[in-house]
Amino acid sequence: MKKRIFLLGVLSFFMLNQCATQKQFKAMWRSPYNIEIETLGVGQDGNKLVKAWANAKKPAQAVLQAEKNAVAAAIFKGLPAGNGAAATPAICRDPNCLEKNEAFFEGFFQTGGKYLQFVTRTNDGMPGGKDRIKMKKGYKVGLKASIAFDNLRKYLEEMGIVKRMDQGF
Amino acid sequence: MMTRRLFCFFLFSLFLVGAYGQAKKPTLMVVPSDNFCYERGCMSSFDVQGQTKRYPDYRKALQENDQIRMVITKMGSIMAQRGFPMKDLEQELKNLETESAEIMMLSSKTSGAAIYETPVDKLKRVANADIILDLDFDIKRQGPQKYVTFNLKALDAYTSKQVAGAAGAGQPSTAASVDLLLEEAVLSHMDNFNDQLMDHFQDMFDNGREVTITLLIWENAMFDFYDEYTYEGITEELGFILEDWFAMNTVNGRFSTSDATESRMEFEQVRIPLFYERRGREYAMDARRYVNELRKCLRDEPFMIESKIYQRGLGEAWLILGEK
Repeated sequence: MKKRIFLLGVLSFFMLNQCATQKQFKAMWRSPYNIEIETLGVGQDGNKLVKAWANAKKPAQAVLQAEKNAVAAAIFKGLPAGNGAAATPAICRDPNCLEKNEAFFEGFFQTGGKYLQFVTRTNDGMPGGKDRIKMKKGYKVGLKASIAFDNLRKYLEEMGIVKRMDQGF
Repeated sequence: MMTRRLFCFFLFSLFLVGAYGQAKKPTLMVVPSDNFCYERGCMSSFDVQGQTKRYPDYRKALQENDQIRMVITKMGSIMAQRGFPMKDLEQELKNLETESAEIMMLSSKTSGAAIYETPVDKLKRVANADIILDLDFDIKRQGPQKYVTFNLKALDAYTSKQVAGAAGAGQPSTAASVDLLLEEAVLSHMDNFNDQLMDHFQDMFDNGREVTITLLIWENAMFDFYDEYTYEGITEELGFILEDWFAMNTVNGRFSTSDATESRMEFEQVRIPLFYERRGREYAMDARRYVNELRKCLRDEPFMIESKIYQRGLGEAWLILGEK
């Protein structure tokens, strides 16, 4: 009997552990810091040219999410170096910027929200070929987009989310 | 009664806004690196006591190289957007020339007196900035392709420390013009560069401005830094009393004594507060203002030492002890 209880205990432990891992995975997937993004080249004045990836059930939804991801990466994560462009640091220098301004970013990133003012798709067509991957549940889409980086930074400075470079002088 | 209170509150708020001080904004200027000038033959030679010394000729570098002007303009526009309009080296050099001529020509209307200018004033009339952006770039070839190597350093003019830097090679290209490659290099590196500059400014706000203070003694003075005084009940050599003063009057007591002899003391990495208060208002502090407090301390009992302040920009000052 004792042996059975012990085995049941071990089994329950592993099951609970598995649940936690799945939750952790889900949390990571939804995290604004866990964004796949690459720099496609040096953009024109104040713009950054990137390819951002997103997962969704339908490709059209994934494209919308990829736009959000591109802006979120510029704000919270920074853009990696690549294709002749140096790495760009995140606009929010405070690592807890999102947590401190959660209400602001909820509104900013709502579907059809202000974030759309700072991201432009490079074309209207749906990404195809290597940029549209069929997954088990839905699609993974890579979207080429241009981020109005300087305008985005200025907007966040005006809203008091990030500090101006000359603040205090 | 209520209206009166509101009016008083409004007046008080206005006073508070007016009383809030702001730190002195450092000036920035792009200067071509010595290596850039040397590679392009923009050097001047002078004979100094039998030795030939070579110095970069900035005017020649700017006149003969249109690419550097393009890079400076691009960087200038980016920095202006970030709230730091840069000093233009070319304009500074022109301004200095006309300033010298104007000072020589000016005289007062009543007595015809010329402007009083010491040899030191003349020596100090050079193009300068608080942060020098030392720029170097080169256009290189790899087969049919061209690429740009870019090297930009932000140097604190007073501590000679590098406070920000950006360096790297651009993407090789067969078709793109050199101007386009240079523009790409500037656009590519400036965000990261400005981020590092912001780190430097943040450090300044958190830990105070870093300055260098040098204490010297006039040769006719009747004392030196080894003389003993009784200050605040403790008898100590003047040099140690001065070190204690710095420990008491720096942010978190941060400074380092890099040189201490009988006739000279040098304090580096002196972290001074950004503001000081006078008559209830806050003002921006610089090395000259800071060392003035030490001058006042030495003027009083038990030292009774007169001294002269010599400013070397926002971040460095000398205090010469003995007389004015």
